[in-house]
Amino acid sequence: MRAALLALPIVAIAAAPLGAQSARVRSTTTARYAQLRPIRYDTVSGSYVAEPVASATPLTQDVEISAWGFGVQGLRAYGLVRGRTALGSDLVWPRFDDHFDALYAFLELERPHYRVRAGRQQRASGLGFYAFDGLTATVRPWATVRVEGYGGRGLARGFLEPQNSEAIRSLDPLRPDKGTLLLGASFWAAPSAGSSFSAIYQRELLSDRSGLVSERAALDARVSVSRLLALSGSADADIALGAWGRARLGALVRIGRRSYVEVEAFRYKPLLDLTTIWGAFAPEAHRGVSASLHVSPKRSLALTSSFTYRRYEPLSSGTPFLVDIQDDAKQFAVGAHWQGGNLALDGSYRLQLDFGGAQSGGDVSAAFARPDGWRLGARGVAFQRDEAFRVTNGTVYGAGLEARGPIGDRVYVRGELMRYLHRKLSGQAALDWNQTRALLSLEWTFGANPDRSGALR
Amino acid sequence: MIARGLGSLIVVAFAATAASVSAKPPRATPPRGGDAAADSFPHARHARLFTSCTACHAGIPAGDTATARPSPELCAGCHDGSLVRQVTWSPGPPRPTNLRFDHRRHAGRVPLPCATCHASALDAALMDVGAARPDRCLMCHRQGSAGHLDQASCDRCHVSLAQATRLATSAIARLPKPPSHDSTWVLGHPSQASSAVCATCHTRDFCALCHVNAATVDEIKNLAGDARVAALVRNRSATYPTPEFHRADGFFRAHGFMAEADVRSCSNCHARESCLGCHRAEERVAPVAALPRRTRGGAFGVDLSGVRPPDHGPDHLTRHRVPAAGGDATCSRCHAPTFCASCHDASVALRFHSADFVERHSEDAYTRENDCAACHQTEAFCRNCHRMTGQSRTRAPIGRFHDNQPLWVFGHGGVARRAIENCASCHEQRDCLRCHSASLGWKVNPHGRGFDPAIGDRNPAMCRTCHLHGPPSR
Repeated sequence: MRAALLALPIVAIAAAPLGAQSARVRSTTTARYAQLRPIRYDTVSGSYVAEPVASATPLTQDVEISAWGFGVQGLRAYGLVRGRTALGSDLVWPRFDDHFDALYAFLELERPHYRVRAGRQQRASGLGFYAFDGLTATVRPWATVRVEGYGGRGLARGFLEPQNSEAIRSLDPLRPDKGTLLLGASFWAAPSAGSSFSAIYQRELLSDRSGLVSERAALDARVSVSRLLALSGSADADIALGAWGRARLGALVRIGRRSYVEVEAFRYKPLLDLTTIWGAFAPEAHRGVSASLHVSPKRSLALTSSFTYRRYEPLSSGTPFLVDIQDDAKQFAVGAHWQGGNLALDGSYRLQLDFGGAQSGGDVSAAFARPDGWRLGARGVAFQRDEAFRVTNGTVYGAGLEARGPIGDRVYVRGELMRYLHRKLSGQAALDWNQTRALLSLEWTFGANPDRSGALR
Repeated sequence: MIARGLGSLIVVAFAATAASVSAKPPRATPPRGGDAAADSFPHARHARLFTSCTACHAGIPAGDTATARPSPELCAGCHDGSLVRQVTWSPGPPRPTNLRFDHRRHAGRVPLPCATCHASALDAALMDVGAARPDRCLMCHRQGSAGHLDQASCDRCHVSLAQATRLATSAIARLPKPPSHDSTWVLGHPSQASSAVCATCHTRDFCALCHVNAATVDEIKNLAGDARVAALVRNRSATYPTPEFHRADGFFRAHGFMAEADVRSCSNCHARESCLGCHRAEERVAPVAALPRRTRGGAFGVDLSGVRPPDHGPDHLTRHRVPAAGGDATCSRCHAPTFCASCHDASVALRFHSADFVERHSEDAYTRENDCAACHQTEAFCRNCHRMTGQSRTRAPIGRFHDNQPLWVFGHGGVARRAIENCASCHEQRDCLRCHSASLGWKVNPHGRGFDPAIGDRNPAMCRTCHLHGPPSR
């Protein structure tokens, strides 16, 4: 199957003699270096001990190809494939034992009033990201209305392998040994310039149709009451369980061109597949409110602040042995950005308290950022964690350098280097963050670059 | 200043006194338009010597260029060095002009006195003359408007710029701008453009500075090309004014249909690349494909790179869920899948999470500040990494994690129901079944408040994970 998916864009490219007018290729190579210090349970001492510091150097190679002009108006082949390997790593970085993935690989026919897409595709909706190998048909009777249907072999949510893939079953043998079928339909309408509404229904079945994996629906809406006020809301429902999942209702008030304040009330409850027992544990929802303020009195200055409060259901199985479990959680954050000439300064601070533990942390950075896109900067971070559910408490300091910018018209490089120092360790054997992390990324574009301002021609 | 420059260009050949008379070699001075005082020959000083124009310009009425201007010998008759100082003079070439003018028709069949056109003023003294000025022409040749540059047509008096081959590039650069050519002129000029009028001052090269479709517009194709104009516009960038209807509410939404209806209009200003700035994946769509491509040396077209739709305000990054929820048929009109993946794809996401997010992600995970599962598969992403670092252990002794509370397990249910996804990021289902299986283990009932046994009807296999012989009958 992988070979067939990979073959789609390759065949399309190779068919250039048929009259392909153009193609775009983008290559992104990302190498990272990370140090980790795993911990191990020592059955003799009955405690955890720290292993020596180990390193990992995962290398990711993405290639994006878009080709069209095969003699049929509106026909395009698109592929985004990813190769992974490790460069001399002591650790197997997650997913890097799988050396190839086709994130997207489809043929698409786009016409003014409809679109048909066949192959591997990912779908972002109010239900999150879902990937599948199949067919999507979109009808646009008017510019403001769209109806879509899709279906095919389902892939695990947030993953590019089937639900019964060995990669997942090795981590949980009780996962089903069958694949899934994914079917869905969506409707989108934009009754006015600042308003839109969408609804989606999606059903996942085991491939032998012996059971349901999930049956969900989501609604999203946004209404611009005026130029200054916009209301938005969303909700999803687990039809299989007959329960509401997440929901939010927010109001955004614009203050001038670059400033806004937003308040929101929300509810969170996970939507869990029926292929695991997690849903049978009757997970409970939490509710909350948040407010955020983004003030930008002038283009060079932006100030942000936010506050979120969450309230959880009281513990239903509390015992004297379970201590210090809070029923609410609070989060504060402030940030600032200033740019004067070629100098850019950023800073932020965040504080989280109560359920889920406590953490406070801040970042500061100063950078020389030229208009041509080059940026050279230094960065410092510090964060402190404490309280519930922690393996290790303590304070982490970090400092590092970053550089990024274009080399010519078609090459973009980025590099980062950070060194972290973990202090005031307390608690158990350390899963410490005394480590070095680095990243080097090289992006190369041939043809028009789809998503960079001042796109290459 | 420019008007005066033009005046100098339409000086009649008769006034070719640019061939100066002086005691010294002539000094190159720019001609000054239509002003008698600027005439390089001091006609007024010779007023008493010459009683008629034809005494020196005998050939003008007959169109005889050989005798249109005085000979050096005629000057030397006085300027012989004894009576008055000696001068050197010889007739120079005719002054470069783009005028379509014939003295014979004005001085012959229609016997206009020379002063009608060349006197510095209508009541000027004899020989107070200079280059003819356009306003004198308009005394007879007016087409409604009084102003020279307001005339309805130019070709009655002027040849096309391409035909005026002797005009220097610098003179072309000084051609005056008619009052009609104000800042809004460019938006309406198609309806007023006719090749004959435009060709007086413009060649194809000038139009091609802005018109991406210059090669396909008849009015532009009918214009001749000209190397002088091409040199003038080379490396110049065009400024495209925004048409009023582009500012109207609803234009953004309707512009696609407008393009489908009449993409030729769009192609005056927009190259295919203009559209690709937003419609980045849609070069194959008919209206976009119908636009001409931007070419090296050709018009750049309106540069829309960096332009955002009206709803992409400063809050859009945090608020894009609703439009994105419409499916990628919305976003993909402008964004390639990699654009979403650059934030949402955990494997290479360089922007969505802060650089050290992995070090401090646990709080966000507990509170579900972001819906991790929207992008991450719990087993393959969370559990895999937690196992690698030793934080996740199947069948580990109870109580060492979770704040080192040995009896944590006796009260963990409520916490688990609050954040079951967090449990799953380390624990696999078998860990729970050690106690919670109805058929094995400690047979502890895990079903919390609000549990609906009917879910077993949707997928009985889930129930049989614990209830090996099927769920109890309800």
